[in-house]
Amino acid sequence: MKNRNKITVALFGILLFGISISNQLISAKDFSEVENRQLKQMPKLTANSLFSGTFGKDYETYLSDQFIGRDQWISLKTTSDRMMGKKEVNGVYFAKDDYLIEKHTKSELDSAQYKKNIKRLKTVTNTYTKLLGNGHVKVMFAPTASAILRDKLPKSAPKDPQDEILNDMKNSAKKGTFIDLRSTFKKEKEEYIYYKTDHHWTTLGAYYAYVDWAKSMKITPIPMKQWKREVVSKDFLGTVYSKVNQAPSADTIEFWTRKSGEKYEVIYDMGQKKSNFLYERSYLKKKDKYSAFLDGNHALTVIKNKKVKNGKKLVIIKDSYAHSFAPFVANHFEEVHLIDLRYFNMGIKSYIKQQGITDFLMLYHVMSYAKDIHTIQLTK
Amino acid sequence: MVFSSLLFLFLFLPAVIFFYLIAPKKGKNLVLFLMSLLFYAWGEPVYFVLMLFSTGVDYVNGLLVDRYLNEGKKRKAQMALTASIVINLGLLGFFKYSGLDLPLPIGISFYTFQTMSYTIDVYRRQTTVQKNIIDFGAYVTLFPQLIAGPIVRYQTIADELKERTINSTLMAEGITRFLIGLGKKVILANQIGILWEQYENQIGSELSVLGAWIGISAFAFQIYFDFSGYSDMAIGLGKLFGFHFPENFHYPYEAKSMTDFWRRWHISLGTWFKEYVYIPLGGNRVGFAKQIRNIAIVWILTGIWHGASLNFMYWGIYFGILLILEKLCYGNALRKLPNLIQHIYGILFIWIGWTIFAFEEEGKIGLFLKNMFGIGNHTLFTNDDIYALLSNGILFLILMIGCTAFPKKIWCHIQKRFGEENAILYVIEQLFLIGIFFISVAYLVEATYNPFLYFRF
Repeated sequence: MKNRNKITVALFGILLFGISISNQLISAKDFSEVENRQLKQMPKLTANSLFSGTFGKDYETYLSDQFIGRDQWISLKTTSDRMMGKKEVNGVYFAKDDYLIEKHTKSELDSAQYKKNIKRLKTVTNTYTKLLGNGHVKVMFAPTASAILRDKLPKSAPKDPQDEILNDMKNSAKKGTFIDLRSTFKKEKEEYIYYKTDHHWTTLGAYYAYVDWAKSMKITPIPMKQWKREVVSKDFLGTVYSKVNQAPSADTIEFWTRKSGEKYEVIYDMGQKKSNFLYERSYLKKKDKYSAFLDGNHALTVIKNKKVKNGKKLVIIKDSYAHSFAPFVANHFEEVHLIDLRYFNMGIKSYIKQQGITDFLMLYHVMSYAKDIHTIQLTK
Repeated sequence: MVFSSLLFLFLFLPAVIFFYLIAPKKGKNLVLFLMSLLFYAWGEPVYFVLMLFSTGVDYVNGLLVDRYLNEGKKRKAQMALTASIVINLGLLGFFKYSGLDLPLPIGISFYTFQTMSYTIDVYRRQTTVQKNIIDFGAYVTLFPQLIAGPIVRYQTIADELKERTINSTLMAEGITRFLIGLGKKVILANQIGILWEQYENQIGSELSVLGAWIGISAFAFQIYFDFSGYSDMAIGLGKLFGFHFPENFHYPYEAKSMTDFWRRWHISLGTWFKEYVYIPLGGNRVGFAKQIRNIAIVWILTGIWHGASLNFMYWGIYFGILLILEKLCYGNALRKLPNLIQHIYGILFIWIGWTIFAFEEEGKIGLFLKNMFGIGNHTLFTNDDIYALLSNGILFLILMIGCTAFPKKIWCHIQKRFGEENAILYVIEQLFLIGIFFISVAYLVEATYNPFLYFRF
């Protein structure tokens, strides 16, 4: 008995001191790829920070940010939750067919901001129709996986708010401007239209959206067989994966290019970066692979299609859903201007006039527009 | 600082163990004293001063009480005692009940009661005076029980403050107890707490009858596993340093009456009020009317002790009334009913008690109770309730079994069956503890996990 007690003491002594000492010995990391954020560094000890208590709090953040094997601990937590029968972990459903699906609820919305955004849809569609003419203004909101892949969700999963939100949006937008993707997406839901580990649609999903958009613009969409589909990654683990740090299977990313050849010039942020391709392959080696589509987030991205001469220019007010969508519409315009309201400081109206824009599209995923706090800029 | 944090587990605890082990025998209390001050001051460094003040004041008052008693000056001894009580209650009142916008010094309700017990015990000659200020400081600030009990009376550990032995048996017991407490707090209480949070805000039209029961059950389990888990950790840590703290919980949800419940719930607080309020007031030896008065006083105070908000007082009064009723009216009849009925009675009234305890806005208490009993226009259950039950079913099952003596009985039975020396059982036990340790750490790391996913999309 006595010996066994000694073993217990030794065992936990080694565990406790082992982890504690290795924690002090490992060097601090600057950035977490999985969490996509800067990690806390060792706080400075000053008399002031000590006595105000901020040193204590900062040190705790530092300790947990730099905790040894941090990502593995998170994964262990997910495993434990799953063993306890939890249907969701950290706001992520473990759905059928290896899907990790981000859960959305009404409580995410700030109701005042939401009401404003819905109302602004009316103002925006009216104002820009006056400016560009009937049929030149469209708004399109992509439902996320939790709204479409309902039958993959766990039994009795709570209601998804996006149906209601889309109805509100539809009612608010000027007639003929609202593109409702729901029926198309529900029809194609057995196909690979959403990533299993990321909150975006796949290139195929974006293509279906493009077809709907083109039809509403009275443009003939380029048929699927005229595209060369290239699988560029088979080990993509996206943002939803990052929330739980494990996934039953990885995702595949496809780049679609015209079989007939392309000639583009892409100008980022007023010429801060230039490229001749819509896809930036360097990101495929990193964690953040979705950024391969049009180089991730920029305030302003201008795509010039050297093969088109029709005098048409499209502006897309967008979130990142548009990055895999833009390569399709770029075939129909001399220029496509993508604007991210979070970084873009100019008034949209004056920009449209100044650039001679002929067509307007707003493209967000439903929740991202419903929550967006930058919509005021649309009215300027 | 709290026990269930990475900081405590992987910096403070190894440090205090290290210094404690290398310190010579005479210096061990000094290590405990200094490290406890650090432990206390970590979050709010200014309250370092408060702790030193408390230590100094009670140390001096203890000496004074003792000296005056030795000199036969009873009046003066009483004055010193009164000074100690007034200062302690003054501190408690100032920080907890004055309504000033001050951050509450953690554990103030616990340690003021502990230090009061010291001067009272000295006055009553139930313990000898402590002349060594380091030893006394170690008692006042002793980090294992400093912030959430059990309320350790000075006389309980007076001897161990001077002389205590540590051996591997005691340490192994301490480790086991600490890990079980850690698991109760981090894996069980925190997790079911998330469910309570979801339901807490749904009062009114949204909340169904089933939802109200799920919600308050989640709260009941959260508070039990949180509090008793913390006591387990405290008792376990005490053992690591050679102290034997009193037990604080004894399967309270197995109670068959409210009288029974309070013998099982937060035992050290009940003992304190019995020893220092109820009995001095005359207890049950002063005639019927005064006994009722004494019960009423104790329960109003018990309620108020839990917080400044009025609902805590109501909660105390609620139990006071039930205890008086059990004593006077139906206690005997209740005991003759089948066990199952007694348990249902117990859970029902404990759960109603928790609704009073849970809501600081009094209006919500009535609303929630109506919700629970389907008074007014409430749906019986919603789809979301079913989802909550499906998603938390296993957790609820663990909680229900875990709050009874059943797991312990089974384990003892197995040990008897295969012999306590059985190596396989030992290995299973250690694996279980390692599992708790790793999963708890995983939850603690995850609690700070903050993926900045949308990186602005």
